[in-house]
Amino acid sequence: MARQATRLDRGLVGLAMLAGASMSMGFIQLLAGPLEQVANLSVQVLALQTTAMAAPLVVSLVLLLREGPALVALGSRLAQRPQAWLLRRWRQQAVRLIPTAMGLLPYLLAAAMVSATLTKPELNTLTELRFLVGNLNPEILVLALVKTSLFAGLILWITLQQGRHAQTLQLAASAALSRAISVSIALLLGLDLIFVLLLDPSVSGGVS
Amino acid sequence: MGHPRRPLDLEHWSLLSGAAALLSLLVLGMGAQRNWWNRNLELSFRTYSAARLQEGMAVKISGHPVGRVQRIRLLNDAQVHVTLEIAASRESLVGRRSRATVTQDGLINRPYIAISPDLNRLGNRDRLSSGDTLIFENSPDLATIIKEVASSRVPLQQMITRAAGLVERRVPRSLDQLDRTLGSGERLANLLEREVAQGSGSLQGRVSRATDNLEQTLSTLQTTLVEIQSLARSSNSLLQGIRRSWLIQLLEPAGTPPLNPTPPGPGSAMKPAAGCPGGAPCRD
Repeated sequence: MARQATRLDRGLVGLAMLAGASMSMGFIQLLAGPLEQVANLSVQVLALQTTAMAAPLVVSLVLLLREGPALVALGSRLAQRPQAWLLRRWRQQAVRLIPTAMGLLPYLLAAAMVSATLTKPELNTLTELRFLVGNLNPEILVLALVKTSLFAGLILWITLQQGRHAQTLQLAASAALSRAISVSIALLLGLDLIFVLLLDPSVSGGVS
Repeated sequence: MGHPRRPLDLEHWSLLSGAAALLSLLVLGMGAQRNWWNRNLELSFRTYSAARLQEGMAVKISGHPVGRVQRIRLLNDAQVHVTLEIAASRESLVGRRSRATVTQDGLINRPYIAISPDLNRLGNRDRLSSGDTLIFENSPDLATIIKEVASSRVPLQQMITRAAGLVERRVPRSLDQLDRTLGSGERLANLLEREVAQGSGSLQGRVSRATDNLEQTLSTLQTTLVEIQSLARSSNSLLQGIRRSWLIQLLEPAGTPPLNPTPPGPGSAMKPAAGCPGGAPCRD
């Protein structure tokens, strides 16, 4: 049961791809529509870089909303166990959840690239995809992977902790879940802000 | 743990493998754009300013991307040392005579480093190796060009003003003169046309009269020639009659060969006899 709490299934992949496609398409429509940017390739590259920057947050939120209830329930079940037991469980879940989160990122970026190519085509599809992949900043990709893994670990820790906390205080599971979601979102946004503010803009902000 | 984990694990691992494959494709694509998978030639140059230079900017030969700027360092002598990565497959195009410049296509495109190809060294064994230095030539940037245009604007405007004044003074006068010249030419043309029309009538009459006279003269001359011919014929017959008369034969000395009974033709009287030079009578 504990092992089934987190998984990389088709539903998660579909959500991530849908998020990537909608983000990329939305950016392109914004740039090409109200902002009247006509350089399609530049618009696509910009949309893709922005999507890559925002992808860790999106993936983490998708994970939180989909796996949060199961993780909170797992945390409440583990409340009777000692702290060392919880830590060991956290490690077991982390081994699955963090690669899961990192695995969602390429699906999201691939969907973003394909939708960018289809929204404002400039070259033939394969050439344009190669162009977009070539213009993806490696630093942004690495940072996105790091942030995703960090955010996934934090989500796991927060949800298990909140589940355990709720069991200890005899709170309802829904209250624990609500608190876990709000705390996770606040923490993720705060950390992302710190990343943007403290790291070199050429790495964190996508300015190459 | 007696629940069915196998299908879930299979799905999990297959989707995770897909993610790994996608990530590998991303890395491959990024590496292909940045020459990560090719052997590179590392060249460098020095310049006095790093303005418009940036790490990662493209390096092109004949407008084709062949590498990128790898590193920019400020040296202790305040010069800037720029290291370039060029694909080893394009190594043969770069030689000792190659020059590096910072170029920009248009006004808003990103600048790049253009390397002039050294075609003289194709086939030459003296190849550049990693760490060799290129010669950098400063190219005028947009601000310099604008400054030069601004500095040349005042003389250009003065020249245009002078030219406009000159045109304003001279052109009306020249146009008047041209107008008068054209009027004179028109009058002259009309006069010539009238004179030609008058002269051509009298000339035609004279020519027709001369033609008539000439025709009359020719007919008269033809009649005269016919008369001369008939006169010559009658004179010839008269002379023949006289030569045959007995009075002439009596007057001729003895031993004189008899006269040819047939009269010679008009041409033979003038022609000397064969074998007797100078027309002298031949003797036996």
